[in-house]
Amino acid sequence: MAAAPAVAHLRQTMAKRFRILATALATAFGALAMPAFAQVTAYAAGQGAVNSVSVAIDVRASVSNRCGFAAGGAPAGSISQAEFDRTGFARDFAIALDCTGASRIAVTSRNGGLATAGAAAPGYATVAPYQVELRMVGDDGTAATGACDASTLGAAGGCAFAGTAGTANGLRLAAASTRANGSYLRVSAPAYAGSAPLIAGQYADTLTVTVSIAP
Amino acid sequence: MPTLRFAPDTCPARPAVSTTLGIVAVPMLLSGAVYAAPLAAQAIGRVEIGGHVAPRCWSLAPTRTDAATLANPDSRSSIAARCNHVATPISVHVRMLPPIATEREAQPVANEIPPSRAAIEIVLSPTL
Repeated sequence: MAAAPAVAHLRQTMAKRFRILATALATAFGALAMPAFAQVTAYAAGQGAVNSVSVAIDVRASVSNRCGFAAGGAPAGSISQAEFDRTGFARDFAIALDCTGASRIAVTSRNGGLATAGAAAPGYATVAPYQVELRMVGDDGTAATGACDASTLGAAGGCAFAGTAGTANGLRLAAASTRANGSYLRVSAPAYAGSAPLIAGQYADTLTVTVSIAP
Repeated sequence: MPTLRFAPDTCPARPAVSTTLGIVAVPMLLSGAVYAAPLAAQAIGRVEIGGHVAPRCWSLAPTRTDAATLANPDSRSSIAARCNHVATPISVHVRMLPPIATEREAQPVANEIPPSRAAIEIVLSPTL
């Protein structure tokens, strides 16, 4: 039975090591816990010795870029030109942005041109082409321009600013624009010169203009 | 988090402040609120474009015809024409009306070249 003292010694050694480990763990967790939870109470005058406490509050804030049309700055309005096939037309719609950084602007055309609801007939055209030009100007004079046929302003059009503005889509203005800087959307068309004559009637199209931040 | 606590026997309008040192929650809260703001705001503008094409006809192959030919009742000039409001081809017949058909004879003015005037009748007919 000489094994009994050896087992007792082993148990004592293990218990000692466990206490050391526990103490080390407790010390480590204590260091990771909330620092200095010291509490100071300030009292009203005459109610206690401490009447004020200085508290340092580190306030950090940042201003994220915002981008949109300024109030009343979205291009809006209409043009109605009689006998536009003979006279052509041109009209500018002012744009005022409120973008604190770079921005993108894009345009979509509902019909891809001036379209009539009249019945199509062989040898006649029911859609009249026209041009859309964008000129965006930043606060520092930086400008971005582009022009496309309305036929390329569909959702999958080939124009550089066709579709809906996004962080990677649209005509990019590299500077902030926070006031009216002379930006505009221009629609124009010369006298119609297509080989197929236009059917008589009313023609219409709607341009939708969107703006987005461009990081 | 800072906590508000009223010291005993004091007016509630003048609360005492009890807080912990080393406040970290406030800046974290502020920073979080800022970074949570949307990065992209978007707006929409709309422009309506309209126009009108008036109905009209035009000759497809204009030809020059002299007055003597037009004045001959048996020799009418027939021109093919096209209109933008009807799909049916149009033919155009042109003839010169005799002077009696005009309202009033031209009156020569003294010391001037005698004036000339003519009336032309243009008839558009659909080609069936």
